[in-house]
Amino acid sequence: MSATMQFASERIELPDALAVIEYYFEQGWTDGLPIVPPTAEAVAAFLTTTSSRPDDIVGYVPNRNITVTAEKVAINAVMAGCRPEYFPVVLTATQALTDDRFNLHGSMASTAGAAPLVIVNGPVAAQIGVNAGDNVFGPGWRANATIGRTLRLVLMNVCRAQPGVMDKATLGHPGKYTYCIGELESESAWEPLHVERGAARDQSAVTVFAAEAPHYVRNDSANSAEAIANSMIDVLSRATNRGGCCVIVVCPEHLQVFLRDGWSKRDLRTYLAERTVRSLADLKRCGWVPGAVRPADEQNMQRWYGSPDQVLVVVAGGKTSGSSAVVPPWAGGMSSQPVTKGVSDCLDSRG
Amino acid sequence: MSDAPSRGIVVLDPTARPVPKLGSRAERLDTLEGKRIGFIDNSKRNSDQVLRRLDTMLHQRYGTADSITIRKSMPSRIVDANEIEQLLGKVDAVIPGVGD
Repeated sequence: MSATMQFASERIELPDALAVIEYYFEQGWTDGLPIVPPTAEAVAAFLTTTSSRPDDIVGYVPNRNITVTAEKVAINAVMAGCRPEYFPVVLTATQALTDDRFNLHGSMASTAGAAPLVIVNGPVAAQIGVNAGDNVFGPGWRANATIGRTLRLVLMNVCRAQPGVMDKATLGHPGKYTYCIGELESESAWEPLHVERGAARDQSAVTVFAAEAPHYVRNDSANSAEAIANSMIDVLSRATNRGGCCVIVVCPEHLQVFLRDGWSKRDLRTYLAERTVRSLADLKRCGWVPGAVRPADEQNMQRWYGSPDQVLVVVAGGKTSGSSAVVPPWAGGMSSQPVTKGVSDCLDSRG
Repeated sequence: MSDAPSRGIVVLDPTARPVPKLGSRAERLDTLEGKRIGFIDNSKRNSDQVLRRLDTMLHQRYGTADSITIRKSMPSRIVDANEIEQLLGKVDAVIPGVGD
Protein backbone atom coordinates (compact mmCIF):
# COMPACT_ATOMS: atom_id res chain seq x y z
CA MET A 1 0.00 0.00 0.00
CA SER A 2 2.76 2.45 0.94
CA ALA A 3 4.31 2.42 -2.54
CA THR A 4 1.19 3.85 -4.11
CA MET A 5 -0.15 5.91 -1.24
CA GLN A 6 -1.22 9.36 -2.32
CA PHE A 7 -1.48 12.20 0.14
CA ALA A 8 -3.60 15.30 -0.11
CA SER A 9 -1.40 17.36 2.21
CA GLU A 10 0.83 20.05 0.79
CA ARG A 11 4.44 18.96 0.40
CA ILE A 12 7.17 21.22 1.74
CA GLU A 13 10.81 20.83 0.71
CA LEU A 14 13.49 22.00 3.12
CA PRO A 15 17.28 21.54 3.23
CA ASP A 16 17.46 19.08 6.13
CA ALA A 17 15.77 17.81 9.28
CA LEU A 18 16.94 20.73 11.43
CA ALA A 19 15.46 23.13 8.89
CA VAL A 20 12.17 21.21 9.09
CA ILE A 21 12.14 21.52 12.87
CA GLU A 22 12.71 25.29 12.71
CA TYR A 23 10.18 25.75 9.94
CA TYR A 24 7.46 23.93 11.88
CA PHE A 25 8.23 26.10 14.93
CA GLU A 26 7.90 29.22 12.77
CA GLN A 27 4.56 28.09 11.35
CA GLY A 28 3.13 27.49 14.85
CA TRP A 29 2.67 23.81 14.13
CA THR A 30 4.30 22.53 17.32
CA ASP A 31 3.51 22.41 21.03
CA GLY A 32 6.70 24.32 21.75
CA LEU A 33 8.89 21.23 21.48
CA PRO A 34 10.83 19.98 18.43
CA ILE A 35 9.00 17.58 16.16
CA VAL A 36 10.01 14.60 14.06
CA PRO A 37 9.91 15.52 10.35
CA PRO A 38 6.79 13.94 8.84
CA THR A 39 8.00 12.56 5.55
CA ALA A 40 5.59 10.76 3.24
CA GLU A 41 7.45 7.52 3.85
CA ALA A 42 7.08 7.83 7.62
CA VAL A 43 3.41 8.71 7.37
CA ALA A 44 2.77 5.78 5.04
CA ALA A 45 4.40 3.42 7.52
CA PHE A 46 1.88 4.51 10.14
CA LEU A 47 -1.12 4.10 7.89
CA THR A 48 -0.07 0.61 6.86
CA THR A 49 -0.24 -0.58 10.50
CA THR A 50 -3.99 -0.20 10.19
CA SER A 51 -6.37 -0.70 7.33
CA SER A 52 -6.63 3.05 6.85
CA ARG A 53 -6.55 4.95 3.61
CA PRO A 54 -5.19 8.49 3.85
CA ASP A 55 -8.60 10.00 3.14
CA ASP A 56 -10.50 7.86 5.65
CA ILE A 57 -12.54 10.09 7.92
CA VAL A 58 -11.61 9.62 11.57
CA GLY A 59 -13.93 12.28 12.92
CA TYR A 60 -15.68 15.55 12.31
CA VAL A 61 -15.90 18.67 14.50
CA PRO A 62 -19.19 20.31 13.57
CA ASN A 63 -18.65 23.57 15.43
CA ARG A 64 -15.57 24.19 13.29
CA ASN A 65 -16.65 22.32 10.15
CA ILE A 66 -13.38 20.40 10.21
CA THR A 67 -12.91 16.83 9.01
CA VAL A 68 -10.14 14.82 10.63
CA THR A 69 -8.60 12.34 8.21
CA ALA A 70 -6.34 9.38 8.87
CA GLU A 71 -3.62 11.14 6.87
CA LYS A 72 -3.60 14.18 9.13
CA VAL A 73 -3.62 12.07 12.29
CA ALA A 74 -0.68 10.06 10.96
CA ILE A 75 1.30 13.19 10.08
CA ASN A 76 0.87 14.52 13.60
CA ALA A 77 1.66 11.12 15.11
CA VAL A 78 4.98 11.05 13.24
CA MET A 79 5.67 14.59 14.45
CA ALA A 80 4.92 13.59 18.04
CA GLY A 81 7.53 10.84 17.93
CA CYS A 82 5.18 7.85 17.94
CA ARG A 83 6.21 4.46 16.66
CA PRO A 84 4.02 3.06 13.87
CA GLU A 85 2.61 0.37 16.17
CA TYR A 86 1.05 3.06 18.38
CA PHE A 87 -1.14 4.21 15.51
CA PRO A 88 -4.19 1.99 16.18
CA VAL A 89 -4.40 3.45 19.69
CA VAL A 90 -3.90 6.98 18.35
CA LEU A 91 -6.63 6.55 15.75
CA THR A 92 -9.03 5.08 18.28
CA ALA A 93 -8.38 7.90 20.74
CA THR A 94 -8.96 10.48 18.00
CA GLN A 95 -12.23 8.79 17.07
CA ALA A 96 -13.28 8.90 20.70
CA LEU A 97 -12.45 12.60 20.96
CA THR A 98 -14.65 13.40 17.97
CA ASP A 99 -17.54 11.32 19.31
CA ASP A 100 -20.52 13.58 19.88
CA ARG A 101 -20.71 12.57 23.55
CA PHE A 102 -17.23 13.98 24.21
CA ASN A 103 -18.18 17.40 22.79
CA LEU A 104 -14.61 18.18 21.70
CA HIS A 105 -15.23 21.79 20.76
CA GLY A 106 -16.31 22.65 24.29
CA SER A 107 -13.31 21.42 26.20
CA MET A 108 -10.67 22.38 23.65
CA ALA A 109 -11.86 25.97 23.36
CA SER A 110 -12.78 26.47 27.01
CA THR A 111 -11.30 29.09 29.28
CA ALA A 112 -11.20 26.34 31.92
CA GLY A 113 -8.25 24.69 30.18
CA ALA A 114 -8.97 20.98 30.18
CA ALA A 115 -6.97 18.35 28.32
CA PRO A 116 -8.09 14.94 27.09
CA LEU A 117 -6.88 12.24 29.48
CA VAL A 118 -6.32 9.00 27.56
CA ILE A 119 -6.54 5.69 29.43
CA VAL A 120 -5.32 2.64 27.50
CA ASN A 121 -6.59 -0.80 28.52
CA GLY A 122 -6.26 -4.34 27.25
CA PRO A 123 -3.45 -6.29 25.57
CA VAL A 124 -2.29 -3.39 23.41
CA ALA A 125 -1.05 -1.51 26.47
CA ALA A 126 1.65 -4.06 27.20
CA GLN A 127 2.33 -4.66 23.51
CA ILE A 128 3.31 -1.04 22.89
CA GLY A 129 4.70 -0.25 26.33
CA VAL A 130 2.09 2.03 27.88
CA ASN A 131 3.21 2.72 31.45
CA ALA A 132 0.77 2.22 34.31
CA GLY A 133 3.27 2.04 37.16
CA ASP A 134 5.91 4.36 38.59
CA ASN A 135 5.54 8.00 37.60
CA VAL A 136 2.42 7.14 35.63
CA PHE A 137 1.60 10.83 34.94
CA GLY A 138 5.25 11.70 34.46
CA PRO A 139 7.94 11.41 31.80
CA GLY A 140 10.01 8.49 30.61
CA TRP A 141 7.77 6.23 28.55
CA ARG A 142 7.62 6.81 24.81
CA ALA A 143 4.11 5.44 24.30
CA ASN A 144 2.59 7.59 27.07
CA ALA A 145 4.50 10.68 25.98
CA THR A 146 3.86 10.47 22.26
CA ILE A 147 0.30 9.15 22.13
CA GLY A 148 -0.87 12.00 24.33
CA ARG A 149 1.28 14.47 22.40
CA THR A 150 -0.24 13.35 19.11
CA LEU A 151 -3.72 14.23 20.32
CA ARG A 152 -2.54 17.71 21.31
CA LEU A 153 -0.92 18.26 17.91
CA VAL A 154 -4.10 17.05 16.19
CA LEU A 155 -6.17 19.45 18.28
CA MET A 156 -3.84 22.33 17.43
CA ASN A 157 -3.07 21.63 13.80
CA VAL A 158 -6.17 19.87 12.53
CA CYS A 159 -8.93 21.13 14.85
CA ARG A 160 -7.45 24.66 14.97
CA ALA A 161 -7.19 24.86 18.75
CA GLN A 162 -4.18 27.19 18.74
CA PRO A 163 -3.34 28.51 22.20
CA GLY A 164 -4.63 32.01 22.66
CA VAL A 165 -6.60 31.93 19.41
CA MET A 166 -9.23 29.18 19.51
CA ASP A 167 -7.91 27.61 22.73
CA LYS A 168 -8.80 30.23 25.30
CA ALA A 169 -7.52 28.45 28.40
CA THR A 170 -6.70 30.90 31.17
CA LEU A 171 -4.09 28.63 32.76
CA GLY A 172 -4.05 25.33 30.92
CA HIS A 173 -2.09 22.56 32.62
CA PRO A 174 0.86 20.26 31.80
CA GLY A 175 -1.50 17.54 30.60
CA LYS A 176 -2.02 19.68 27.51
CA TYR A 177 1.44 18.54 26.41
CA THR A 178 0.57 14.88 26.96
CA TYR A 179 -1.88 13.03 29.18
CA CYS A 180 -1.88 9.29 28.63
CA ILE A 181 -1.77 6.43 31.14
CA GLY A 182 -2.39 2.73 31.37
CA GLU A 183 -3.95 0.63 34.13
CA LEU A 184 -2.27 -2.03 36.31
CA GLU A 185 -4.61 -4.74 35.06
CA SER A 186 -2.47 -7.79 35.78
CA GLU A 187 -1.62 -6.58 39.27
CA SER A 188 -5.11 -5.61 40.33
CA ALA A 189 -7.88 -7.90 41.54
CA TRP A 190 -10.35 -5.23 40.49
CA GLU A 191 -12.05 -5.26 37.11
CA PRO A 192 -10.22 -2.97 34.67
CA LEU A 193 -11.89 0.23 33.53
CA HIS A 194 -12.65 -0.95 29.99
CA VAL A 195 -14.40 -4.07 31.28
CA GLU A 196 -16.55 -1.96 33.61
CA ARG A 197 -17.46 0.13 30.60
CA GLY A 198 -18.53 -2.81 28.46
CA ALA A 199 -15.46 -4.21 26.74
CA ALA A 200 -14.17 -7.77 27.01
CA ARG A 201 -11.10 -8.21 29.20
CA ASP A 202 -9.00 -9.40 26.25
CA GLN A 203 -10.15 -6.52 24.08
CA SER A 204 -7.97 -3.44 23.82
CA ALA A 205 -9.77 -0.17 24.44
CA VAL A 206 -9.17 3.54 24.90
CA THR A 207 -11.12 5.86 27.19
CA VAL A 208 -10.92 9.62 26.79
CA PHE A 209 -12.00 12.10 29.44
CA ALA A 210 -11.92 15.91 29.36
CA ALA A 211 -9.89 16.57 32.47
CA GLU A 212 -8.18 19.06 34.68
CA ALA A 213 -4.78 18.25 36.15
CA PRO A 214 -4.61 15.43 38.70
CA HIS A 215 -4.89 16.32 42.39
CA TYR A 216 -2.85 14.16 44.74
CA VAL A 217 -4.54 12.29 47.55
CA ARG A 218 -1.30 11.71 49.39
CA ASN A 219 -2.29 9.67 52.43
CA ASP A 220 0.38 7.42 53.91
CA SER A 221 -1.23 7.16 57.34
CA ALA A 222 -4.81 6.04 56.66
CA ASN A 223 -5.19 2.34 57.36
CA SER A 224 -8.76 1.61 56.40
CA ALA A 225 -10.70 1.71 53.16
CA GLU A 226 -13.13 4.17 54.65
CA ALA A 227 -10.39 6.57 55.74
CA ILE A 228 -8.72 6.53 52.33
CA ALA A 229 -12.06 7.08 50.63
CA ASN A 230 -12.83 9.94 53.03
CA SER A 231 -9.52 11.59 52.13
CA MET A 232 -10.49 11.34 48.46
CA ILE A 233 -13.79 13.03 49.35
CA ASP A 234 -11.83 15.78 51.09
CA VAL A 235 -10.14 16.60 47.79
CA LEU A 236 -13.19 16.07 45.60
CA SER A 237 -15.43 18.31 47.67
CA ARG A 238 -12.85 21.08 48.14
CA ALA A 239 -10.99 21.22 44.88
CA THR A 240 -13.13 19.95 42.06
CA ASN A 241 -16.12 21.07 40.06
CA ARG A 242 -19.53 19.81 41.11
CA GLY A 243 -21.28 17.76 38.50
CA GLY A 244 -19.79 15.81 35.64
CA CYS A 245 -17.63 12.74 36.08
CA CYS A 246 -14.25 12.21 37.67
CA VAL A 247 -11.43 9.71 37.40
CA ILE A 248 -9.97 8.29 40.61
CA VAL A 249 -6.48 6.85 40.22
CA VAL A 250 -5.93 4.35 43.03
CA CYS A 251 -2.29 3.56 43.75
CA PRO A 252 -1.22 -0.02 44.58
CA GLU A 253 -0.64 0.76 48.26
CA HIS A 254 -4.16 2.09 48.70
CA LEU A 255 -5.54 -0.76 46.60
CA GLN A 256 -4.15 -3.27 49.10
CA VAL A 257 -6.09 -1.57 51.89
CA PHE A 258 -9.30 -1.58 49.85
CA LEU A 259 -8.87 -5.28 49.05
CA ARG A 260 -8.01 -6.17 52.64
CA ASP A 261 -11.23 -4.45 53.79
CA GLY A 262 -13.25 -6.25 51.13
CA TRP A 263 -14.05 -3.25 48.92
CA SER A 264 -14.70 -3.70 45.24
CA LYS A 265 -14.30 -0.93 42.66
CA ARG A 266 -18.07 -0.60 42.71
CA ASP A 267 -18.00 -0.15 46.50
CA LEU A 268 -15.51 2.71 46.17
CA ARG A 269 -17.42 4.33 43.34
CA THR A 270 -20.69 4.13 45.27
CA TYR A 271 -19.14 5.46 48.46
CA LEU A 272 -17.64 8.46 46.69
CA ALA A 273 -20.80 9.17 44.70
CA GLU A 274 -23.04 9.10 47.77
CA ARG A 275 -20.80 10.91 50.22
CA THR A 276 -19.08 13.63 48.21
CA VAL A 277 -21.27 16.42 49.50
CA ARG A 278 -20.91 19.90 50.89
CA SER A 279 -23.38 22.25 52.47
CA LEU A 280 -24.98 24.94 50.35
CA ALA A 281 -23.90 27.39 53.03
CA ASP A 282 -20.26 26.44 52.53
CA LEU A 283 -20.59 26.71 48.77
CA LYS A 284 -22.12 30.16 49.13
CA ARG A 285 -19.43 31.31 51.53
CA CYS A 286 -16.85 30.47 48.88
CA GLY A 287 -18.83 32.04 46.08
CA TRP A 288 -19.25 28.78 44.22
CA VAL A 289 -22.98 29.41 44.47
CA PRO A 290 -24.37 32.96 44.40
CA GLY A 291 -26.58 34.38 47.12
CA ALA A 292 -26.54 35.13 50.82
CA VAL A 293 -26.19 32.31 53.29
CA ARG A 294 -29.44 31.40 54.99
CA PRO A 295 -29.71 29.27 58.13
CA ALA A 296 -31.35 26.39 56.28
CA ASP A 297 -28.37 26.25 53.90
CA GLU A 298 -26.18 24.72 56.61
CA GLN A 299 -28.12 21.46 56.42
CA ASN A 300 -28.78 21.58 52.68
CA MET A 301 -26.17 19.15 51.42
CA GLN A 302 -25.28 19.35 47.73
CA ARG A 303 -24.05 16.21 46.00
CA TRP A 304 -21.25 16.14 43.48
CA TYR A 305 -22.44 13.03 41.68
CA GLY A 306 -25.87 11.65 40.98
CA SER A 307 -24.64 8.12 40.32
CA PRO A 308 -21.61 5.84 40.82
CA ASP A 309 -21.42 5.75 37.02
CA GLN A 310 -20.02 9.28 37.18
CA VAL A 311 -17.01 8.01 39.16
CA LEU A 312 -14.44 6.17 37.06
CA VAL A 313 -11.71 4.25 38.91
CA VAL A 314 -8.33 3.20 37.50
CA VAL A 315 -5.57 1.37 39.36
CA ALA A 316 -2.20 2.89 38.48
CA GLY A 317 0.99 4.28 39.93
CA GLY A 318 4.10 3.04 41.68
CA LYS A 319 4.40 1.12 44.93
CA THR A 320 6.52 3.64 46.78
CA SER A 321 3.87 5.57 48.71
CA GLY A 322 0.18 5.96 49.42
CA SER A 323 -0.36 8.52 46.67
CA SER A 324 -3.59 8.19 44.79
CA ALA A 325 -5.14 10.98 42.73
CA VAL A 326 -8.38 12.60 41.81
CA VAL A 327 -8.70 13.79 38.21
CA PRO A 328 -11.50 16.37 38.04
CA PRO A 329 -13.61 16.98 34.97
CA TRP A 330 -13.47 19.94 32.67
CA ALA A 331 -15.48 22.71 34.29
CA GLY A 332 -18.27 22.07 31.81
CA GLY A 333 -19.25 19.05 33.85
CA MET A 334 -21.76 16.92 32.01
CA SER A 335 -21.17 18.95 28.85
CA SER A 336 -18.60 16.29 28.07
CA GLN A 337 -18.91 12.55 28.69
CA PRO A 338 -16.02 10.09 28.96
CA VAL A 339 -15.99 7.89 25.85
CA THR A 340 -14.60 4.36 25.57
CA LYS A 341 -13.87 2.78 22.19
CA GLY A 342 -12.38 -0.57 21.25
CA VAL A 343 -9.02 -0.47 19.47
CA SER A 344 -9.32 -1.98 16.03
CA ASP A 345 -7.00 -1.98 13.09
CA CYS A 346 -9.51 -0.45 10.76
CA LEU A 347 -11.78 2.52 10.98
CA ASP A 348 -15.48 2.04 11.62
CA SER A 349 -16.52 4.65 9.09
CA ARG A 350 -14.99 5.60 5.83
CA GLY A 351 -15.74 8.77 3.97
CA MET B 1 33.86 15.55 -3.37
CA SER B 2 30.61 14.50 -5.07
CA ASP B 3 29.14 16.75 -7.79
CA ALA B 4 25.61 15.44 -7.19
CA PRO B 5 23.11 18.14 -6.22
CA SER B 6 22.15 18.15 -2.55
CA ARG B 7 18.78 16.67 -1.82
CA GLY B 8 16.51 18.24 0.69
CA ILE B 9 13.85 16.61 2.76
CA VAL B 10 10.19 16.69 1.76
CA VAL B 11 7.65 16.77 4.56
CA LEU B 12 3.88 17.07 4.82
CA ASP B 13 1.69 19.87 6.11
CA PRO B 14 0.02 18.74 9.35
CA THR B 15 -2.78 21.27 9.30
CA ALA B 16 -6.34 21.17 8.05
CA ARG B 17 -8.60 23.98 6.98
CA PRO B 18 -12.31 24.23 7.65
CA VAL B 19 -14.36 23.91 4.50
CA PRO B 20 -16.29 27.17 4.14
CA LYS B 21 -20.03 26.72 4.05
CA LEU B 22 -21.67 28.61 1.26
CA GLY B 23 -24.42 30.89 2.35
CA SER B 24 -25.75 34.39 2.06
CA ARG B 25 -25.98 37.13 4.63
CA ALA B 26 -29.46 37.97 5.82
CA GLU B 27 -30.83 41.32 4.77
CA ARG B 28 -30.23 44.07 7.34
CA LEU B 29 -33.38 45.27 9.05
CA ASP B 30 -34.40 48.72 7.91
CA THR B 31 -35.76 49.44 11.38
CA LEU B 32 -36.20 47.72 14.74
CA GLU B 33 -39.60 49.32 15.24
CA GLY B 34 -42.19 46.58 15.61
CA LYS B 35 -39.70 43.82 14.93
CA ARG B 36 -39.73 40.58 16.86
CA ILE B 37 -36.35 39.56 18.26
CA GLY B 38 -35.24 36.02 19.07
CA PHE B 39 -32.68 35.46 21.81
CA ILE B 40 -30.49 32.38 22.09
CA ASP B 41 -29.45 32.03 25.73
CA ASN B 42 -26.34 29.85 25.86
CA SER B 43 -26.90 29.17 29.60
CA LYS B 44 -23.70 30.85 30.78
CA ARG B 45 -24.04 32.34 34.27
CA ASN B 46 -26.29 35.43 34.21
CA SER B 47 -26.89 35.09 30.47
CA ASP B 48 -30.62 35.13 31.09
CA GLN B 49 -30.41 38.40 33.00
CA VAL B 50 -28.17 40.06 30.40
CA LEU B 51 -30.40 39.06 27.51
CA ARG B 52 -33.55 40.03 29.38
CA ARG B 53 -32.07 43.47 30.06
CA LEU B 54 -31.06 43.80 26.43
CA ASP B 55 -34.59 42.88 25.37
CA THR B 56 -36.01 45.59 27.60
CA MET B 57 -33.55 48.18 26.30
CA LEU B 58 -34.35 47.37 22.67
CA HIS B 59 -38.05 47.70 23.37
CA GLN B 60 -37.68 50.97 25.23
CA ARG B 61 -35.23 52.61 22.85
CA TYR B 62 -36.20 51.18 19.48
CA GLY B 63 -39.76 49.93 19.91
CA THR B 64 -39.15 46.23 19.26
CA ALA B 65 -42.13 43.95 19.69
CA ASP B 66 -42.34 40.92 21.97
CA SER B 67 -39.52 38.41 21.87
CA ILE B 68 -38.85 34.68 21.90
CA THR B 69 -36.01 33.23 23.96
CA ILE B 70 -34.62 29.73 23.70
CA ARG B 71 -32.08 28.42 26.16
CA LYS B 72 -29.42 25.90 25.16
CA SER B 73 -28.77 23.01 27.52
CA MET B 74 -25.04 23.75 27.47
CA PRO B 75 -22.97 26.60 26.03
CA SER B 76 -20.64 24.63 23.78
CA ARG B 77 -23.20 22.78 21.69
CA ILE B 78 -24.62 24.02 18.44
CA VAL B 79 -28.32 24.87 18.51
CA ASP B 80 -30.18 21.79 17.36
CA ALA B 81 -32.98 21.46 14.84
CA ASN B 82 -35.71 21.64 17.50
CA GLU B 83 -34.29 24.86 18.89
CA ILE B 84 -34.00 26.40 15.44
CA GLU B 85 -37.60 25.42 14.72
CA GLN B 86 -38.74 27.53 17.67
CA LEU B 87 -37.34 30.65 15.98
CA LEU B 88 -37.48 29.95 12.26
CA GLY B 89 -40.07 32.11 10.61
CA LYS B 90 -41.23 33.52 13.94
CA VAL B 91 -38.68 36.30 14.51
CA ASP B 92 -37.11 39.06 12.42
CA ALA B 93 -33.61 38.89 13.95
CA VAL B 94 -31.70 36.70 16.39
CA ILE B 95 -29.28 37.71 19.14
CA PRO B 96 -27.17 34.89 20.68
CA GLY B 97 -25.33 35.40 23.95
CA VAL B 98 -23.40 35.64 26.17
CA GLY B 99 -19.64 35.43 25.76
CA ASP B 100 -17.67 35.34 28.99
